[in-house]
Amino acid sequence: MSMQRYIARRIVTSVPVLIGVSMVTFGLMHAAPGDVVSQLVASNPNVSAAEAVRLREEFGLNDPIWVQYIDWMRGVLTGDFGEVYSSGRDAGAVIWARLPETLVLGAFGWIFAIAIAIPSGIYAAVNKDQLGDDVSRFVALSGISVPNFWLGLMLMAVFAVQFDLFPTLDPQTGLFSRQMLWWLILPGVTIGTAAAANVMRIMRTSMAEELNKEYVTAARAKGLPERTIILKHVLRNSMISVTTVAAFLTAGLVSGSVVVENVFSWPGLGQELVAAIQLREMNLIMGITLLTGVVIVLANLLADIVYAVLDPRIRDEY
Amino acid sequence: MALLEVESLTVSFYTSEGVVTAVDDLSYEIEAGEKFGVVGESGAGKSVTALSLLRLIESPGEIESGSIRFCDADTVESLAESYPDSVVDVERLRRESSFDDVIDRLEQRGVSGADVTGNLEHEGADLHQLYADGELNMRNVVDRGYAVDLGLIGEEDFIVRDGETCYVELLRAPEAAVRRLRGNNVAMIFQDAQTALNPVYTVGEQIAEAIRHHLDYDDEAAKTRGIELLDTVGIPDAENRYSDYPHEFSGGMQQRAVIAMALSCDPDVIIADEPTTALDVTTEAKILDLLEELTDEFDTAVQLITHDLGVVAELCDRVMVMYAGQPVEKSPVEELYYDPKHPYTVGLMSSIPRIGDDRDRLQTIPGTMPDLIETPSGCRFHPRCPYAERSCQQTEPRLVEFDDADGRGRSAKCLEYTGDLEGGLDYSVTVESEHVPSERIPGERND
Repeated sequence: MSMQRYIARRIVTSVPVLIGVSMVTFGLMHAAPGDVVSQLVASNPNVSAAEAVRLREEFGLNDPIWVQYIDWMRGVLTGDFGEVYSSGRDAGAVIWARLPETLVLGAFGWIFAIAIAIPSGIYAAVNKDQLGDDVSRFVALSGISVPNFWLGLMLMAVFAVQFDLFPTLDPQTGLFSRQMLWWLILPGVTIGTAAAANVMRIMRTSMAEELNKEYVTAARAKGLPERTIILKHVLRNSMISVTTVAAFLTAGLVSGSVVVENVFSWPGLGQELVAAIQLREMNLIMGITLLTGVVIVLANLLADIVYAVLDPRIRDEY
Repeated sequence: MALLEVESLTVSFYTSEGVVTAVDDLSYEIEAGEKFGVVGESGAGKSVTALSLLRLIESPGEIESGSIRFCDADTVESLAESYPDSVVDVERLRRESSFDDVIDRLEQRGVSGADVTGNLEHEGADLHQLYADGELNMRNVVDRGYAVDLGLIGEEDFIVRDGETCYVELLRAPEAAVRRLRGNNVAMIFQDAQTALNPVYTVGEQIAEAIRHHLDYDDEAAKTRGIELLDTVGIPDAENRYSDYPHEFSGGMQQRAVIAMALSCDPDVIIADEPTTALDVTTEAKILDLLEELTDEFDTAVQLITHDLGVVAELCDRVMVMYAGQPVEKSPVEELYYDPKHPYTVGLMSSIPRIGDDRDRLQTIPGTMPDLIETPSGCRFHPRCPYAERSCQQTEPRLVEFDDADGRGRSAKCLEYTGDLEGGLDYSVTVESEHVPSERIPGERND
């Protein structure tokens, strides 16, 4: 009961956060030189100066910034994200169409990260300061240090070009087709690597710390097998700090997807966002930013729920 | 044979500052159902001793040498069934090998009489003579590990049978065999219940998991037993509190839960490591009462570790006083109070606050426990001992055994008892006639 109230309260308090995010993005985009009309004019010399003035008037770009913001917000509240000026399509529809690709990429990255990080973190903590631990820490540090665009290009050069294991181009099939999921592997690994390395390091640290606690000695004194002690008693306690970092890394995964999608030409929102910024497509940029904000807020909310599931002391605080 | 025999146990910690010998050549035994107290200041090696019994010493600590023998016949039998290749029959060894030959080989290795019998009076004695006198036989050689050194038995032969008696040598047993004893035969109560309980599992689950694991109960039966145990240790409304988490229990209740956990598989020995240190005085009295009542009821032996002589007086039959990793005095409990033999024991006792004592300051033992990396020469207590003489700096006293008025054994490690102390021990013990040492605070069982 109290948990449901807590979640409701968290959702309500995230509204001001999202409004703040949208205001800052809106303000910054306006502060940047040029607008969508100047971009259209620049790319198409046939547009006359008079036409440009008319377009600005039509798009409402001459209104004061707060009027433009309120107009945009009014639209969002009624589910209208505005139009994509250059193509005349609905911004909401464009986002909606590209969203599944990005979600699938992010989810794959996450699953990859967790699947790698948790077992290797446990392994490193249990074998602390031994060879295996040193090796896994070196790999993790490399994973954090390598820029994802470079990693993406290298993976592509080696596995797609050299060994020809993966396609280099969009197979142009449905999202859940076999070809598409196969193609997903390289960008997914690229995006998940840094997250895996970060989570693994936290997993190792927190598990090593938990292993020194007295309840572990107490569990051993009960005669439980080491496996039970690690996977039941210690793991659950260590997951608490991992959850914090995992939620935090969601932001990194989202921004990572912008780069990785462009490196691999993965047809998701990240690619759309870069194109939108180049064209100063205000409505599209705002929609994607707002959606990103929602995802991060949700990730943190999810982390809080996971906390409560893991730790009864936190559950009682709600 | 006693239920648990510890002999010449030495445990060291390899730290960056040097090797800390936390427990040094420690021997003692606990009879079935006996309440055995281990007393000493912080750092005396009490907790390390306790963890050694469960073989839970962790890196950088290491059990260097010694023997820990556990002799519950049923347990030994069940282990012998699982590890038939690790059983040694001492009688067969006697038949199959010439003992004179064994003695020769021991002598070649420079093993002394005291080394092999454990009796310090046999230092320097001829091994053949000891054998002839019946002081030394094959069993000593097996017990003290020389049989392994001589290749008479294998490194992994940890179950020893000698006619009617049998035991498990814990220090040679494989990890899986030790795990079968932990919690099941030898259970532990930790100092701080709050940290000994895993915060993310219910109290009930933490009791039930050991029951399921050792006694092979199913979920339902383990839960029923868990609730019974919580009820036994005096948790009100046990059925509902079973699914509470540790943080929902008060300190006293947490300690009760930890006691329930220790009792869960009906162990033969409970090692209680300062079980009441973290509790307030009234709760402490109740918990001690409970511990005494339950261990009497189930005839469980207890090794009670404490720095509080008052707690020992209340609960124990026999006491060992430890100083700097070594035993300095072993005695039946009343004897220790009325006639302490070691100056350190005297020091500990005079630092107990007493009602009616109008001195401004409590008496303390001057100085601190020595650094265990570089222990003082001679008697380890000499820098703090008011009766120390020159000889105390040079000669390490041995633990001298003697019998008290009732013929019960006691021992003390002081040069006084080997006649090497010129000035003698100049203290006297006054017994206040109206003082009742084991009076307890009466109280109900609920916290």
